[in-house]
Amino acid sequence: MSGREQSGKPIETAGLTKRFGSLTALDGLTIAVERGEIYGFLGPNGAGKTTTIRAVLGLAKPTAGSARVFGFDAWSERQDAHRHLAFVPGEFAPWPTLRGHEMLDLLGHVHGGYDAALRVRLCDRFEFDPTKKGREYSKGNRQKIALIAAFMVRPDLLVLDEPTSGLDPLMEIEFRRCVEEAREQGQTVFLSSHLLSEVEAVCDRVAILRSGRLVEVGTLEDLRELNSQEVEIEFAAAPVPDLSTVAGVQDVEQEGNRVTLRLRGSPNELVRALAAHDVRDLDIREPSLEELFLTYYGSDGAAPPRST
Amino acid sequence: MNLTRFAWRQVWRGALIWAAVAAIVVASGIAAFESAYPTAASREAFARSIARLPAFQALYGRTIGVDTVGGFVTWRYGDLMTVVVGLWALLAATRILRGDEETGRAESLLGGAASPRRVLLTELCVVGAGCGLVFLAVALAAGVGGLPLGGSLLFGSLVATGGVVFGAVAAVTSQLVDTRRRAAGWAGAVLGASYLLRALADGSSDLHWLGWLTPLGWAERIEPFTGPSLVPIAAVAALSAVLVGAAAFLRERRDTGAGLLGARQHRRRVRPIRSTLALDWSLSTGALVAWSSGVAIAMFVMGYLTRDIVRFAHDNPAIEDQITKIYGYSMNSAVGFLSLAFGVVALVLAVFAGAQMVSAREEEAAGRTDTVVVAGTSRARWLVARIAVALVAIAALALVAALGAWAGANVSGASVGFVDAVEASFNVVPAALLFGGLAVLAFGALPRATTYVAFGAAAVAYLIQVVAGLSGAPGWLIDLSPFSHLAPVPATPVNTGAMLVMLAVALAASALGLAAFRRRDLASG
Repeated sequence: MSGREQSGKPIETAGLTKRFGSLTALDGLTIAVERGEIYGFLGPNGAGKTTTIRAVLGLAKPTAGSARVFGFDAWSERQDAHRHLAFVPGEFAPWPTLRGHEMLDLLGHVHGGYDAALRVRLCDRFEFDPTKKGREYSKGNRQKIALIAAFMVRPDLLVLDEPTSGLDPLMEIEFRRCVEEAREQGQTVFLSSHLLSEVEAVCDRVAILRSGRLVEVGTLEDLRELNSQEVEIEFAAAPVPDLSTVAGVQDVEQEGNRVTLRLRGSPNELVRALAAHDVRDLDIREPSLEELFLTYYGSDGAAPPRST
Repeated sequence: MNLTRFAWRQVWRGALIWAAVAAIVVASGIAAFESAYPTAASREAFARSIARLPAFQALYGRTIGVDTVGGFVTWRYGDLMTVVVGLWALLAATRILRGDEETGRAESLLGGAASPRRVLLTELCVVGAGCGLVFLAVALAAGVGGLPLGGSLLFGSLVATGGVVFGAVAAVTSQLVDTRRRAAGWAGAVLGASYLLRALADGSSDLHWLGWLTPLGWAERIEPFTGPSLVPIAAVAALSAVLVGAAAFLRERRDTGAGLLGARQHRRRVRPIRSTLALDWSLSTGALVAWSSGVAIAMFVMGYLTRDIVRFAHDNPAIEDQITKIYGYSMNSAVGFLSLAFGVVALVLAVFAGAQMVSAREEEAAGRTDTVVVAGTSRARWLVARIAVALVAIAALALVAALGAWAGANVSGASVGFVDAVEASFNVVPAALLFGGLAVLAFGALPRATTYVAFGAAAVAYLIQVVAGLSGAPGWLIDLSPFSHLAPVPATPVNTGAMLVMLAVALAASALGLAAFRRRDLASG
């Protein structure tokens, strides 16, 4: 067994396909996650991220192709695979009548043991009160149970499916720290997300999924290239400056005193250009993944129309 | 006003349903009595035979003028409906008084200008309006059924008293404790005690005065058609006013969200939960306790009625004939009646077995099965643990049923052996296991149909047995129902062959279900 463990990659899929009736949720996905890396799995809602994860966890049987975890077949040898991983779902459902500490006990023991000191530390860091009953926890606190249960067993592989939904920003920072520490310990992390910023903050490598197909696998650098911001400026008075020549600025549109544009890279030049003018309002936001896909990959036939 | 409408929205459905049910019960009760006992002579004979049966007096109330339509309907349905309406009112009151505070909704209501006391009184008025609906429905049904108008109005009031008193009791318990469940539990305990006191007063010959100590005894003394009195209604009104006043007084003295008695101290579990088996056991104990109490009370009542029913069967050969037609044996002996009673236990245990798989499916749908399976439990182990816990629970329920029937029978003076009762109870277990096995099969192969198979199969089989027996359906149809193959134990010996077949089917269906479960996708939602 250990021989195969050494040889197998944490996650390896080959032509992984999943159909539900006539719907193809996942279409020939082939990815390989290397040991010790933090692998981002990015895609808009409905792209097939959760379907991939369910196949990797042996919860769903592939229609075609295969998934392997440390060399074990994710479906037929799922119990061997489970020994090496821990999973955090997007919406952890607690047992309504069990208390937080009881759930942590249960999950730790079912996994075959856990690091008790680490568990205490994690509860502290996430400011988690383990004495309440499952039904009393808020959305964010439910996620904390799943996160603590996953990190405290020190698995070789962490499979995280949009794990930070409902967490407040401070806790999100704590989560990122935990992921960093996992990397330092040599653990592998598979992080599925629809938030560009989250993936950008922690991942070494990123796969981008759309409509069940792999669009791109790349490093953080490649991703930075993707990451642009949408800027909306309202000027106080009429002559609106021409911003299209400013470094990093694209797609300038003007409507009266209002200008919208897309900004890549540092906002430095833009800020400088604006300094000479009377700005009434300035709004910068990160575009949604769906918008990014429309910008960079075209509508590709199947894509939904732009919602605004 | 906004608050009134908000509270009404939470209670009107239940109020309307129970008002409709009460009206139907009254209307059909009048019709049934008139068709079953058309002549004055037959009514007198009925009244004489009923008067000899103390268990019936305890269960439904004292028989007063049951040889008249009004007297019969009051006796047979009055107390029963009062209890049901009381139960509805206490659940509705705790829901809007306590439940809204638990969910935090009350804070937005109180954020407005209304004082807590005003909110409380408004919400109680809404529950009172629901009781008014029941009053109208009952009075209308009685009046339309041909009973005198004055008596019909009093009968409506009699039924509504339950809602008023126990709604007021719930208003007080909602101030004392901090969760809806506990508030309803405490109010329910008061209702149960009131009923027991009334049953004790009416079931015995020398404790009749005890009836004055319970609101249900007061309601009984309204006697709408046989000797109308307004005094009990005044007593109910006074008691309710005092309780509501106390609730309003207490409401001003506590924080929103808290109870005057403080939160319950957390009980420490005896054993920590470290495996799926321990988890399943902990998850099912609540349901097991609830089912056990229900089965124990129902079977105690059945056992308690044994002696009187046997007497009644002797007095009424027509009913006796019908029973013999359905079940193929007579119930004019204690064991005969008990065999019949345990036929119902078969259905109850089958539904319980099915419910275990429905809750397994709920675990899966919520995603909690994913959690323990990925954490390291094999699917086989997860399902087998569930089945094992279900088996233990079914055995416990069967034992409780036997105990209840045995105790009830012996309290009423019928001689039923404990071993006979246990034998009768465990005789029906294979049928329950058969339906449990089918539920496992459905869960494995057709998870989204689990609920339909788990509850539908047993219900259809039971209907086939009862309806087909009455209407003389073909033998193969009756044979299709597993319940038809249960020997009426202890009236006759156990049907070992049928038992073994049922167990074999249960085992095979469970094995198939387990195999299918290991091969399918886990499906949430």
